[in-house]
Parts: sequence; structure tokens; C-alpha cells
Amino acid sequence: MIMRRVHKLFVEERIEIDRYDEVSQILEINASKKELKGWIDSFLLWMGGLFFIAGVIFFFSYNWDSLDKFAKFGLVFAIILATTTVALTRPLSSMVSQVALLVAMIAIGLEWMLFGQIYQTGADAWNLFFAWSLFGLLIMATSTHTLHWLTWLIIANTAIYLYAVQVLSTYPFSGIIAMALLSTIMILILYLLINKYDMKHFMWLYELNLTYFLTLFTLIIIREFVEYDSVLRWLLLLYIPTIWFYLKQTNIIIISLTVLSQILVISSFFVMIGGRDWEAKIVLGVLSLIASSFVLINYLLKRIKDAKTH
Amino acid sequence: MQKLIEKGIIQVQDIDEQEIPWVSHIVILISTLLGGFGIIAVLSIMRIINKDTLWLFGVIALGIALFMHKSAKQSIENYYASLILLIAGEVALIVGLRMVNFWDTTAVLWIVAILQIPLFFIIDDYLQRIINITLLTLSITFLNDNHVVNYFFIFCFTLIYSAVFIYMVFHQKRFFDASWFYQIRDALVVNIFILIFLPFAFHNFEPELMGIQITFTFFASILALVTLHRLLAIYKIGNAIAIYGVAIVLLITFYPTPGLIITFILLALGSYQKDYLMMIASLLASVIFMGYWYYSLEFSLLYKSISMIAIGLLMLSLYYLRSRHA
Repeated sequence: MIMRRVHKLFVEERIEIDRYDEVSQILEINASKKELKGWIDSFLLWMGGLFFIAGVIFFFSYNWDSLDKFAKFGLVFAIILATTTVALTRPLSSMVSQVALLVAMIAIGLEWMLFGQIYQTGADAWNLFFAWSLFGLLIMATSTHTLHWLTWLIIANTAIYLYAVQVLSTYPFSGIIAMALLSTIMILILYLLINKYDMKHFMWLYELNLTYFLTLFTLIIIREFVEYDSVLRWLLLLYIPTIWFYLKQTNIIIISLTVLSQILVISSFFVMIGGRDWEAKIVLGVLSLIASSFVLINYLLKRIKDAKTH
Repeated sequence: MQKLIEKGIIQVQDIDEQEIPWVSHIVILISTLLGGFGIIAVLSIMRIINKDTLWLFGVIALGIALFMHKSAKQSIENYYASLILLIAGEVALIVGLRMVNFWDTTAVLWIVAILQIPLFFIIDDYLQRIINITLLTLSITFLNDNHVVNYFFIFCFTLIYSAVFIYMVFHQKRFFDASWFYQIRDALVVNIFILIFLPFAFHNFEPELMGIQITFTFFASILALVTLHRLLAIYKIGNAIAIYGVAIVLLITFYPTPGLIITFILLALGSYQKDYLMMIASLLASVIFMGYWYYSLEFSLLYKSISMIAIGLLMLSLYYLRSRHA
């Protein structure tokens, strides 16, 4: 990222292009040999592990009849056993253990998929993801690596979403609300882990969850305004402290998204005020959008400036 | 930056405090897009413009926006307002010209494409230039009704941007003072995502057009190998033959999705330049392309699964050999 800032200085001729070599040496603009070797190793290990398990998934999608069902179960079980053994015989923080645990987590889902494929249980897709997230929880609990937590979160959110669509089909939006509740719980857990147990490496997952929650919350509020559904109108009261909390964060990505959320919520509020008159809705919505954008983008740029001076 | 100040290469006041992070650019882009469309909607509701005068409004809005952009007062309000007017002007011009029966779709698309070139050079703004490049690519792409030929056009652009970007990265010094250095890179990333989001771009190939697909893969593979060769030459890394071997196996296996090969190039260049944003974008795109490869109809699932397991095991063994060697 430093390169982009330096580039600007060259374009504006604040630094002469003749000093390029000197500048690139001081700032280490390009990766060093050690860094590139590290990246090649990570690429080989992560992609190798993921290609392997993806190939196994493709293989079971092919549904080869000649292979006995117990051989199929045994093959996936052997992968789970082998990968967990590799992970447990090494320090959990090593890259090999992390890749092995991720492959194991995916293989658990594959075992359930295979179960549904062979016995044709007639279960809905949410059952598969629910069982997968339940067993995946074991791996997530033993690992402190963010990628395992992220994978688990994707699986659990998919389970919730599918449950809402397939079971609560009369009110599928409840899935979004349940997903927002899950991300609130995750935010609290991650906040505790970061601040009480000093697990700073969870910071990006915490911020990702904050972003995810804000996206869902904004969607819920906009829907409440647009659909004239008064059931959850009181959520607006929660939106104000949420924004206050988000604006206290230091990450500029979160602040920017908070500003975008505010612009969208304010505009949809004015669209709601327009009532049933479409022309009034558009005029009020656009005017509030432009006005709030002016004010809030100015605020955003002020925050960026403050962050740079401090 | 602190290091440059300490060495006396730049002064503290040289650092631009108004520099906008990429995420804030996205926020500004979304609100300006909505604002631009909104202005047209409001003016048409108020009967100020109609389907015959929309193009005229577009020309006037573009003119005012250019004037504001070039005016001495460079505040954020000025910037934001000029960007809204530019977007509103471009949209109004495109839709307005189509509404006047005199112009057909092909002519409008040509006008849009040609308009982007002067705008690109006149307006030295990051967001506007990305929009220019995207509109130029899309308008030339949609000059054809045939979906497969659209894919051909958009892939041509992607290959051209890739080749230019690879050249620029390896001759960084020569291009570093060019104001469009990053625009080419970001246009390439935008193009990759356009390829992804055009659903017909992936698996609806007709058998007689397989030649086009093979040609793309051939050129994309050459670009990938050139990139790898330059990187290995710069760093003089051991196991070079094994790394070339894995690369060639990857290129041959994934030939139905040449887009995947371009994302590998982006990943390699992102690693070289320590550009994490580009690395994340290329990884994300490669996952989606991999999904499309799964659904491609050229090979059976058995072939795909066996080849992927083989590549996975090959990569893991190479990692094992490298770690033992280290």
C-alpha cells in the first residue's frame, strides 16, 4: 500500500524520478527474496490442501457407482483422521496444522454430504449445514486461527439462511435477523478474546464481523422503512447507539461503511416520509441523499485527516 | 513515509493529508452514482427534462462538471458535485441519445466509447478514470449481440491490460511518474470482475468457437509464464524447474477458464509489489473462476476431480521438498 502513496509523490513531482532507486530501497517497495519465498511456500501449502479437498469433493459429486458405500465413507473418514493426526502431532500454530485442520473441517461436511447422497434421507439442505456447523464447532474451539473461525461462520450463516428460506418460508427475512444476532454474539466473544485474553490476531475477524453486522442491520432498517412493516420499527432506537459505537472505532474502513450506512438509512427514512406518493418519495429521497452525502463525506474526510495527523 | 522525511527526501508538508483511502472512494462512488441517477429522476418528475431534451441536459451537465473540475477552487464539495454532474451527464447523454429515434443502439455505443477517450485525458481523477475505462470496455463489448463475441472482446481488453500492466511493473521506474499507472492496474481488476459477473462468459461456449477459447488460454498462459520467468530471474529462487513444472500443469489443467490464469498473474504481481488489496481481489476472483471451472462442460467430473487431487498432491510434495531443503 505504501507504493500507492509514493507513486502520488512522484506524479506530483515532489520527488524526482531520478531518485526512484534510492526511494524504493529505503521503503522496500518490492518484496524481498525472503518474503517471496514465504509466499511461494504458503501458496503451495494452502492451495495444495484446498485443491486436494476440492478434488475429493468433485470425486464424490461424480458419484462413482463401482465404489462401495463403505469405501466412500472410509475414504473421507481416513482424510479426517489423517489431517487431525497431522494437526495434533505438530504445534497448532504451525502452518501445516492450520491447513490440515481446515481440510478436516471441510471433510466433515463432505462426510455428511455423502450420508445424504447414499441414504437419500430426504433432509433439507439446512440440515446438512446445521450438522456440519455443529461438528465443525469442535475444530473451531480447538483452533485459534482466524481462518477456521471464518470458515465456521460461513457454514453457520449458510445453515441459518437456508433454515429461514426452507422452513420459515412465510417470513424469510427472519433469516437476516438471525444472522445479525449470530454476528452480535460473535462480536461479543471476539471482543472478550481480544481485550481480556490479548488475542490481537482476532482483530481483523472482529472488524469483519462488525462490518457484516452493520450491513445486515442497515438492510433490516431500510426494509422496515420501505415495506411499512411496523413490527421492528423500534430497531431504529438501537441504530443510534450502534452508530455511536461504530464511529468510535479507529479503522477507516469501518468508519467509511458506517457513513455509507447512515447515508442509506437517512435517504430511506425520507423515502418513507414521502408516503404513497412516488414523486414525493423520489424528490425527498434524492435531496436527502445528496445533502447527507455532502455532510457525512465531509465528516469522513475530517476523520481521515485526524487519523493521519495523530 | 517517516523514513523518507528522516532521509531528507521529502518534507512533512509534502504528505497529502487529504489523500482518500480506497474504501472511502467506494462510499463516494456509491453516493455519487445514486445522486447522479436521482438528479435525472427529479428533473424528469419536475417536467424540466423529457425524453427529447434528456441528451441536451447530459451535454450541459458534462460541460458544467468539466468546468467545475478544472476550476481553481478544489474543495471536496466541488469535487463531489462535479462527480455527481459527470455521472448524471453521462447517463443522461447515453439514455437520451437512445430515446431520440435518430440514433440506434450501435451508434450510441460508439458515441459512449469515443466520449470516454477525451474524458479520460481531460479529467485527472481516479474514480472518473476507472468509470471511463469500464464504460469503454463495456460499450465496445456490447457492440455485438452475440454473447460469445462479447466474451471475445472483453477478454481482448483483459489481455491487453494484463500485458501493459506486466510491462509497467517490470519497468516500474520508467512509468512511475505517469498519472495513469494505477488506473491500468485497477481497470484490469475491474475487467476480471466484469468477466465474472457476465454469466455467459464462462460455460456457454459453442463447439465451433473452442478455437477462440484455446487462443485466449494460449496468450494468457504466455503472459503467466513471462511473469513467472521475470520473477524467478529477479529473485534467483531455487527449485525453479519444479515451480515452472507446477505452473505448466496448472495452466494446462485450467484451460477452459483463461480468467483463472489472469488471476494467477495478478496474484504473482501483487506478491511482488506487496499489494495486499490486489492479492485479496485476485484470490477472491480465483475462487469464483474455480467454481465456474467446476461447472464447465468440457470435461467429466471424474477427470476434474482426479486432476485436482493430482495437482494438490503435487503442490504438497513440492512444499515438503522445499521445507526439507530449507
